[in-house]
Amino acid sequence: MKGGRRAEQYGALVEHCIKCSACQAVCPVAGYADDFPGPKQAGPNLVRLLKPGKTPHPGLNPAAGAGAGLARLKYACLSLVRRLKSDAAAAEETPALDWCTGCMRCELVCPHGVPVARLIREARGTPAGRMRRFRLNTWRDLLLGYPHLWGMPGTALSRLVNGFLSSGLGKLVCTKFLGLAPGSPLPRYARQSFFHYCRQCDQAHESTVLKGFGTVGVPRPVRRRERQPEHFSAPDSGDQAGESAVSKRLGPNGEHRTIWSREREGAPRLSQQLRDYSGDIRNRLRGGRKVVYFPGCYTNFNEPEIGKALITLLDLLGIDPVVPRAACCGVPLLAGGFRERAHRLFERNIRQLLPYVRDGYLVVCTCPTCGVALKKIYVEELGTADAERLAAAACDYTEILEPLAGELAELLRPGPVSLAYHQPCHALAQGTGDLGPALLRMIPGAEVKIVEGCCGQAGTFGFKKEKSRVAAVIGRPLIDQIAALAPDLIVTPCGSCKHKIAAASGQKVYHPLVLLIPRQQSGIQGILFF
Amino acid sequence: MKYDVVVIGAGLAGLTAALQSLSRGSKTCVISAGAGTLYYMSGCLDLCGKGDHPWQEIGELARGTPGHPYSYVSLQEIREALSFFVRETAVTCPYRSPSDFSCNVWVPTSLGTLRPAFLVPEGQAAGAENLARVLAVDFQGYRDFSAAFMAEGLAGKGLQWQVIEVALGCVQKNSGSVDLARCLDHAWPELAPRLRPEVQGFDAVAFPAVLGLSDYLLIKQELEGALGIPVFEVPTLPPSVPGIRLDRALRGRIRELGGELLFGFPVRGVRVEGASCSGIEVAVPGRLRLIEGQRFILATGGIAGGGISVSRVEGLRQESAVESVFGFPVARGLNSDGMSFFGPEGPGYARCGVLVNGRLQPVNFGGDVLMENVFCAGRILAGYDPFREHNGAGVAIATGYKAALEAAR
Repeated sequence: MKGGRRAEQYGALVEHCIKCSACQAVCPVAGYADDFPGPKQAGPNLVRLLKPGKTPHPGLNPAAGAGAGLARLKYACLSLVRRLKSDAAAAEETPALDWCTGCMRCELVCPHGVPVARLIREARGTPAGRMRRFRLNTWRDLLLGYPHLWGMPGTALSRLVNGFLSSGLGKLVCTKFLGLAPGSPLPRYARQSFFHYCRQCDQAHESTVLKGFGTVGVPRPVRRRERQPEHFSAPDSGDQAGESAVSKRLGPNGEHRTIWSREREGAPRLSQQLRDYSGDIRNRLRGGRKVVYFPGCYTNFNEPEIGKALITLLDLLGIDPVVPRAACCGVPLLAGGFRERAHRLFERNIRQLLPYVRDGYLVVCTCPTCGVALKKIYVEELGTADAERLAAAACDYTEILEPLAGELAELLRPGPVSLAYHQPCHALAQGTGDLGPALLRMIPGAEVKIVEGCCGQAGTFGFKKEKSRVAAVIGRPLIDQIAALAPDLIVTPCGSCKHKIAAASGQKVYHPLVLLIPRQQSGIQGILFF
Repeated sequence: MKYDVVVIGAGLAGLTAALQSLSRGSKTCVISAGAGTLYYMSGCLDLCGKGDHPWQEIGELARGTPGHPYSYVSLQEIREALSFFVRETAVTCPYRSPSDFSCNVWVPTSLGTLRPAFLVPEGQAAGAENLARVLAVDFQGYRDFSAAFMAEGLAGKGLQWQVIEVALGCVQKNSGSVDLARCLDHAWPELAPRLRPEVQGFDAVAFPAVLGLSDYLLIKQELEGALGIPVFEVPTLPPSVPGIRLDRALRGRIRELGGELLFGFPVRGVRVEGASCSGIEVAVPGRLRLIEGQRFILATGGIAGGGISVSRVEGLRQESAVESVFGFPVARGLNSDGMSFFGPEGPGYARCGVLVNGRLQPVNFGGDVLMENVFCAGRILAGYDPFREHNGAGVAIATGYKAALEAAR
C-alpha cells in the first residue's frame, strides 16, 4: 500500500538528517522570508514532528475519503483532533511552507542524501497544510497552475491577450483581483504555439517541417546535410520497422520523419523485448536515434523558437523528434499546493509518453523544470514503476547533445561573444548543470562565464503578489553579477529564469539552443541571428 | 565528457587538489555527494601538534611513524601547498599566518578555551593576538553560543573579557549560526551604533563567527572603521559559518578557473580497465551518468565524510570497513591488530584508512598498487589521527596538493 510504503521510506529518510544546517545555508528563501523557517525546519524536522518515524498522514489521506460523506466527516474529525492534540507546532508552521520554491538546492547540498524538498512537499500535503491551503489566492494559484489550458487561447488570440495584459486595465485586473505582483508582468504569448506549428508542418505533408520558420521571425535553417558521417546509420529498417507504435511519415527521400502524431490508432504495440531502461544515452542513441520531444508550456506558448531550434539541431544531427500532444509537466500545480490535481496531470503525461518509452524512445526536454519533473518528481510523488520507466528515458537536451558533441562541433561557426550563463536550479538538480556551458564553450570564440545563484522567480513564485518582494531580493545578487560581467549575451535554459532575468537586467536572455543552431544561409558566418 | 583530472570529494583536500590541477591547466571536474566536512570545521587550519612548533612535530611524525601521510610529503612540499592555498583564497576568503609560517598561534574558542592553529581566517586573526581587554558580543535569541560561558572559561586563561548582549530585529527566538549570519548580511549596519558607546576602554570586540555569510569582509572592515578598534570572530559550534565561507570561496575559485562541479550526487559505480580506472558512474536522477577521466583523485573523506563505510559483521563482534567508491581495503590503523574499531583508545577508528605508496596511489596490504591512475588525499589516508595530532587541515592541504602534482605527472 502506498501509505505504508511511504511510512517506511520517510522513517528512514528523516533519520539521516544530522541537523548540520547545510541546507539552511544554501536555501535561497531562508533569510529573506521571515515566515519561512528554512528547509531543515520545514522538511525533516517538521515531518518528524508530524508523526515520528511514520508517514505524515497515515489514514488521513483526504483523496481516499473525498467522495463519501461519512469518510469525509471522519477525515475532518481526525484532522481536527490531530491539530488540537499532537501537531500544534506543525499547524503553526505549515502555512509558511508555501515559501519553499522547490528549487532542490537543499537536496544537493545535503551530505547524507536527505530529500529535503521532497519532505517539505510531504509536510505540505498534511491535513493541517491542506486546510489552510484553500484560503485566498486559490483562483490565482489555479490560474498559474494550468499554463497549458490558458496557452491555447492565449496564443490563438495572442495580440488581444498580450495587449490586454500590458494595458492599464489588464494590470489592474491582475494585481487587484488576481493577486499577481504588480512589478512582474506575465510572459507574452507567442503568435503561434509550438504544437500548432508542428501540426501545420505535419499537415503540409512535406519533409520541410521547418517551413514555418520564416513567418515567426527565425531564419530558415538549412536542411539536413547531404553527406552524413559514416557512423550515422539510417534508422534500422530490419528489426524495428513496423514494430514502432508511432505513426511514421516518409519524406520524399525515403527518410523517416515523425514530427507529430495527433492520434495513434489503436493501442500502441509494445516492443517485444524488455529494454534496459537505465542504459546510457549513448547506447540508446546508437540504436535508432528515436527521440520524443516534450516541449513544456514555456516553449509551447511563449517561446516556440526554442523548440524550433531543437528540431533544427536534431535534424542536422540526423534525429527526427516526435512531438506528442502533452500537457503541462504539472510542477506549477504542485507548487500551487494542488497535489491531487498535479498527480492527475503527472499520470496523464505518463500515459501519453509511456508507449514511446516502451518503444525505446528517449524523452527530451528543453525546460529544466520539465526535466526534473519527468526524472525525479513523478517518481517521488507517484512511486510507480511506470514513472520510473519514464524517468529512465527522460533526458535534458544537453544529455542528448553530449554524445553527439563531435558532430555538433562541425556545425558550429565562430561567434566571438562573451556569454553569461545562469545555471537554473532545476538543471543542477538533474545533475546536468555543467553540460549547458560545456556545449556553449564548443562554439569557437565563445567565452562562457557562469553566474552563481538563484534568480528568485522559481516558476510561478515570483508572479505571486505576496512573494514578489522576496523574489526580487533573492535575484539581486545574480543580477549584480551579470551587470558586473557586462556580457554580450545572457544565456539560461529555464523559461522562468529567462523571464525574470530579462525583466531585471533589461537585456534579452537566450536559451542555449537558440545560440547553437548554425546560421549557414546568410553571408555572415556567425552563430547568432540578430 | 572526458576530463584530465576527476576529483571525487569536495572537502579541503579535494578542493585543494582541484585548484592545483586547474592551475596546471588540466581540465578538471569535482564530484561530490553533498557538502563536504568544511561545513563542520572551525575555519582555523591546523598544521601539526598542540605545541608551538608544528614543523618539528611534522618531522618527528614523518620519521617516527611509518605510513604517516606526512612521511609521503616533504617539508618543502607542505610549505608550497600552504602558500598555494593562501594565494588561491586571498581574494574571497583570505587566510593569515600571524607567525609568518613558523609557529602555531592560540585562538579563543566559544567554549572558553584556546586552541592551536596555524592559519587563521582574516575574521579570526585579531583574536589570535590574545588581547586582554575584549568586549564579547552575544546575540539575543542565538541558541548555539553563550558569550558569558566563553568569558568565564577565558578568565581561567588570564583573559578578562566583558559581555554585552545585543538584540537584533531580524533574529528570531531560536536562531542558529547560519540563520544569524544570513540575517546579519543585511542587518549589520544596526550593530555599530549600538556598540559604539560601549567600546570605550576595550582593545577589541569579539563576535561569534556569524558576521555575514557573503559580505563578511566588508562587514568586518566597516565595523572596525566605525568602532575604531579591531573586530574579530570566535568560531562556534557546527554548522560553521567560517567553514561555509571557505567552501564557497574554494568552489568559486574553481569555477573561475574553468573547473566543473557536479554537486549533489553520489558515485555509484566505477569503470575499471586493467589496473586503471576509466570512468565513474554518478547517480543523477533517472540514470547513472558516466564521467570519464585520465586521472582520479580520491578525496572522499573518512568515516564522517562518507569515504569509508563501516558495517557490523553479523555474528561476529567486529566491524568491517571498506573504501566506499572503489572498494579499496581499509587498514584499521597501524599496529592495531585485534583492537576494536571503536575501542576506547581509538586508534582503530581514527587511524583507519586506505594505504598508499609514496605517490599516494592506493596499495594493498602487500604494497602492490591497486589502481594506477587513482591518487588519494585527505582523511581517507590511513595512519594518522587528526584528533590527537591536530593535523587534519595540514594533511588535507598537503596531500591534496601532492596528489594533484602526482596526477599531472
